Amino acid sequence: MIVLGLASSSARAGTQFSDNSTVLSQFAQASGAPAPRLAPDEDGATRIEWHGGATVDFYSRSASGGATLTPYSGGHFHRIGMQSDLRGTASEGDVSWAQFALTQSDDPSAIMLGNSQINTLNVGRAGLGYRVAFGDVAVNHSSFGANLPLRGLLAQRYFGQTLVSASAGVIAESWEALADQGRRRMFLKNAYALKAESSFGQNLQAYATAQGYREDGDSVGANVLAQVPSSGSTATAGLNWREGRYYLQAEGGLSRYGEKGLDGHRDRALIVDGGWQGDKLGLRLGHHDLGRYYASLSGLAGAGIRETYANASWQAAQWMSLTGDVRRSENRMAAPPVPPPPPTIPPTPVMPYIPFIGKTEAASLRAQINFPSVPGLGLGLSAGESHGKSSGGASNRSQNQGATLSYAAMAWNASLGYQNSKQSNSVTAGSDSRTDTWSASYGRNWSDATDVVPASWTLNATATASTQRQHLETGATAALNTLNLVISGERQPWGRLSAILGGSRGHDATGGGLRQYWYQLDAGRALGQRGGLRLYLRGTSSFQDRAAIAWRDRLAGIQLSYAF
Amino acid sequence: MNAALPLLLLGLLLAAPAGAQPAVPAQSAQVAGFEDMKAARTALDELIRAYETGDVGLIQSRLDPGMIGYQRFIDGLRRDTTALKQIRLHLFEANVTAGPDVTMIEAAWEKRFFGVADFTPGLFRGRSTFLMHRAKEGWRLAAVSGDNPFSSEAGALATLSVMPAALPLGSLAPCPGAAVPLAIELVDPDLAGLNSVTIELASSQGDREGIVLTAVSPGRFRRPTTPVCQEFFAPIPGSGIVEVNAAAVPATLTFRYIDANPGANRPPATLMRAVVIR
Repeated sequence: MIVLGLASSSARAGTQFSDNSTVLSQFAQASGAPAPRLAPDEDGATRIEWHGGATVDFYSRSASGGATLTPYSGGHFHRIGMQSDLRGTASEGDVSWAQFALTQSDDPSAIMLGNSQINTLNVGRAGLGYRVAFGDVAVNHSSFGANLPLRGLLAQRYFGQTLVSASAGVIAESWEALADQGRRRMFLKNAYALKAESSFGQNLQAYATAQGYREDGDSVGANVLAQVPSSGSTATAGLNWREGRYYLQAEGGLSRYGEKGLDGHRDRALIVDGGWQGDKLGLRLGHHDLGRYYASLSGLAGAGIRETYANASWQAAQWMSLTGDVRRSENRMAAPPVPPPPPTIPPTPVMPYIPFIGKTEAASLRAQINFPSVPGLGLGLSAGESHGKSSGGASNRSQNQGATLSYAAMAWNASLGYQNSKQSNSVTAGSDSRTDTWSASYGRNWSDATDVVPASWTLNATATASTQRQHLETGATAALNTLNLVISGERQPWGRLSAILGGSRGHDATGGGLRQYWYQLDAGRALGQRGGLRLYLRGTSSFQDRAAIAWRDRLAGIQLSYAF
Repeated sequence: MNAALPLLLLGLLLAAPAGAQPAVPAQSAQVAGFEDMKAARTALDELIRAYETGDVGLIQSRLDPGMIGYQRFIDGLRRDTTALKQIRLHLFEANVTAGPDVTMIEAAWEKRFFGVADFTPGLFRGRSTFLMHRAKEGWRLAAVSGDNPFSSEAGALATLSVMPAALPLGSLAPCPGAAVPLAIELVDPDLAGLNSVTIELASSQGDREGIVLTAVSPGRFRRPTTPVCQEFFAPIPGSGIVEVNAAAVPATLTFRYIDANPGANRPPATLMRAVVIR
């Protein structure tokens, strides 16, 4: 970290340090990480901080199996990652920032198109009552309004007790896709979002939002996409209320949606979530109802859902906690959209895919028990079931139960678990099955730490094993047994080392053998105060005795890093 | 979209006098840093590993029960862990946008797997935005918009391709004729497990037929040929064969499929491909 001091003639030293500590605590609260270090200057100056880092990887990989089986290709590759976070804190506490992160690589499994990608680009300023940001902005207005990343502008400001937030920009896959049509795999979407929120007393906030978008049909080359460009607009209103142990959130929305040249749709959505939080018991209730054609700029809003749920968390005793959940949901989205005109070609009956159309009822219960007489011993239990039926007579059922017994002592830990699940679906009966899974693990750690002296070396080892049997309704059985060993150690000032070795054996439902093994070796050490060196080696070999599905990759590399 | 309105409002907002500042606004100078982005990405990677190993319980414990579409997500997740084996989810380099309590990770992904019944390899591709919210316990997955890689039935946008894009009239046999090498492929992860799917074919001359594609791997449907023939009178809709009136070429064949469940934040999407016969 670099800390620069800028003289501020108008700022008095005492006031300056007070503001900085406020800002630092805000940083810590916001980031959940330690606050950045600010050394006070003699004249109480405003600060500019610059954090950054760079990593450079060189690696060689051999790979076989083809693109369907592995994302990797063989060759010698490099990957360079850079990031920079420049911040300035004014004497009144306002913060200006410029963040940038970039990856450059010639490995096609790292960057899908091209060989460089901007990971983050963001500049802005925030202070008491306002925020302005440009670049990658996170618009987080509401569940039904706008909740998405945007490449554009975000401005927020308080007017009295009313917060006004406005955003406008383009939704694109990346900055590179925004600049280069050849790297686009989706339409550019021009979007705006507005929100006004006001407080009414201490407990109630109400807000209204308006947003819209339009996909640019000319932004992607001809014949690249089969989609029809669409547009949509939404208006919503909502409230947040909290009083004592009670809380309530509600929002309603209306939307218009249209695809170019096709009929448009109007739809609506409603969400109500509330609850009560006691000392040992927490209750939540909610109802969500979103129309099939509800179009918004929110990633939270899945269209075609109607669901009602109740959820409770209860600390029944000091040694036992329970969580229960019941819900009823209706999926109106997966309905077959347009019945084809009969007869079909060839004239076979059309089987609409309707596994989850209709209503689904589900319940689940989890319990965590800690035995007070044996400190470290715990038992986790879970059970759940869902059952769905469609109006067309199709049905699906899912059941699962599980138990995990675990014990943790100072130098070792162990666990034993069992899971059982059953799935059935009248439309896709080929995968109806019951699956039983047993798992066990044992871990041990060693170090030279004492009650007063921290460890100068540590060594950890964990072995896990699992066996899974899947019994299909067709009578076939698939099985897989897996073993995995992880060892990691660290010694000051030598560095750290970790190793993984594992393998699995079994057979698939056709009886074909399945053999896999994998390994990984990773060693690193610090180079001075800011640098680092890392060497790594890893590989996976899968199903080499079955030519049709065999794939393998091996990789060896070195990484140099520097952070400031 | 009328861009003038938001731009005007933005202008007004930025031009507002400083005197409009409240006495005690709630807006603080919170700025997310790379540590937040890294922590959110680590939490997402943990969910990806859990999905690959079929640890539905861990994923469930990291979801908010108030998540919209929670049951659809969980049911799809359970079905994936049953129907798809050896799942490997590969994320390409991500673009990360962070706010004070929210991190949005945009990434392209590839999902490789084997079908449980016959161990046929499969590959799905998509692009998602993972919304991560900061909770007391750490970063939690609030939603997946775009194509959902965790839960096939929770929505992923289909792809439709038809090759070639043009056919000479001479390649069509007289009706009833033989099938022409007009290959159609539909990839819709939401339909994994289904044996066939029907798409619509309409011609500019008024014909309209249903075309059945057969599954070659879970969620991938193909048809190597299409029954198209030529004659000299108007086509008959629903006849089972696409008739092209040779006296009225060029004609356009439009293949249409409506993806009813293209993922959160997307209402049903229409996919269309056109083939010109000249």
